[in-house]
Amino acid sequence: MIERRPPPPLGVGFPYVAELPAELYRSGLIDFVEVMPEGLCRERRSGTGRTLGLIPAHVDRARETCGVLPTVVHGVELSIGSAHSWNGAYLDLLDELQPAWPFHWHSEHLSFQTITGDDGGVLEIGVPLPLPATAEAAALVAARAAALAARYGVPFLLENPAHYLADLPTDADLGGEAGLMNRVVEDGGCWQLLDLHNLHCNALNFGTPARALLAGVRLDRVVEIHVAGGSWQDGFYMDGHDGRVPEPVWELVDEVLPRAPNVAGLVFEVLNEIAPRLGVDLIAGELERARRVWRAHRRC
Amino acid sequence: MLADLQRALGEAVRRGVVPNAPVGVLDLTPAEHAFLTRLAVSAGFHFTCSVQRSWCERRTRNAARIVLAALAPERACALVDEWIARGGGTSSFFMSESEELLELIAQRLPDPSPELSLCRVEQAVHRANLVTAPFAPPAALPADAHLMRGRGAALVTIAPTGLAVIFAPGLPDLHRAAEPDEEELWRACAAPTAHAALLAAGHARERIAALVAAGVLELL
Repeated sequence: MIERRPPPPLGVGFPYVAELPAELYRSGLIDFVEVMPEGLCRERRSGTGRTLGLIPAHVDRARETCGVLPTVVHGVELSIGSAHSWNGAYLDLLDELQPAWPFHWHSEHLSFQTITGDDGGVLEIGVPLPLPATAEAAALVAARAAALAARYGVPFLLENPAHYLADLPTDADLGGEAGLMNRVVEDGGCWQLLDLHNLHCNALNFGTPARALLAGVRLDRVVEIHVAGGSWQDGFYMDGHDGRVPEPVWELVDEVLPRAPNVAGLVFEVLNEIAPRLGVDLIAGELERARRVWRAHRRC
Repeated sequence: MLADLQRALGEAVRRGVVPNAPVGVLDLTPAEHAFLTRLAVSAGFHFTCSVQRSWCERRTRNAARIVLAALAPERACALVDEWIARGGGTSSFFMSESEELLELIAQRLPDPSPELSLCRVEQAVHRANLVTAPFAPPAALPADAHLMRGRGAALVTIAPTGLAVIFAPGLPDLHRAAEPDEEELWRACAAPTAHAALLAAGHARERIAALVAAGVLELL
């Protein structure tokens, strides 16, 4: 077992969204900022592959907006679960970001979004897809998680995904998706970002009570919680990050926080391109509610 | 095996269908094989494909936002469909696809036309933006230099007025109207050209230097 310590608690977090007024980040509603590196960089493609490089003006503007707020990183491009390889260009980007803007922890999604094509080149699927709950998948991701912890020297978190593919292959001794996550965090020395809205989505879409899904989660390994809004489309409930947090998700937060001693942050998540349409008033309302829940269950 | 399962699942989502290829070519466990077999009748799989498709459409429209917004909806949809059928729209970094997508759109538009002008403008702005950070003009312009069009530069003639607009990473606001002698220099540098030859042809030294400083022309 790899020794690890959880980070100290930060409080209520919110994503950095360039299109939102800077005043929101100085309002006292936000204790820390979740930064998506992909929003601060540019991709360049050449014959040898692709590179990701920070855009200094974007980083400067983000830092000016966020002021002295602590920062965590939440990525979407690593494809940590891709069997052929993960996205090395994303790690190069993090290597560039960390000295420029240090972060308290970083997170990614327990999923894959690239495969190899017939010519051996990398193909992007276009959406992240879930992993089977197998020992092979767990070993792959755990090894990479351990490498990330060593590379950046801060806690690394994995987020449970929302998806629509029922009956993924499962090794009997792993115990499904929660078991996959538990095995990875144990063997990889990492932590979990428990996205309760994703869990809510999967409960609705697969007909499994949310609390049954929650029962398998190692709550002592949870360092961050995400809440968000979603919507129904074509009979499926989508994790759209596009609105208020549903009441059942707030109820899950109330249940989880007393039982998760190492949670360091509660984040209200919205999509960058949707945030301006939601408006500052709605966002502030959700942040205020998050703060009430946080204070009810935490001492800071 | 995880890699083969992911390839099969990923390709199925990319194509929107579960292929009928012999599963024997893939190294799959019985459970993985059974999962893939069930996909074809899985409502969740088909919904995943529709989500993938909608994401690809959004990225494609973001990559050519201006010109697609200017076209008739059915025309724009057809172009988006063509791009996605070619495998486009899958990357989160849609701007890296912009150059190629805008060139495809340009080839589909009447020449000349206001829509083509708009497409070329969007292409030029994109190209200039790619080089902007960081853009640093050369310290000096040697007399024996060879010059060519800047990588981040473009000259767009706007139909139907014929106004020529130059785009370059070193220009304030990345663009301005082109002077007649600048248009001539742009045409003269369609292929790498010696600085001395440009001077001999009567082009002003100061104008050449200004265009190099703005990134309209660059040293070979």
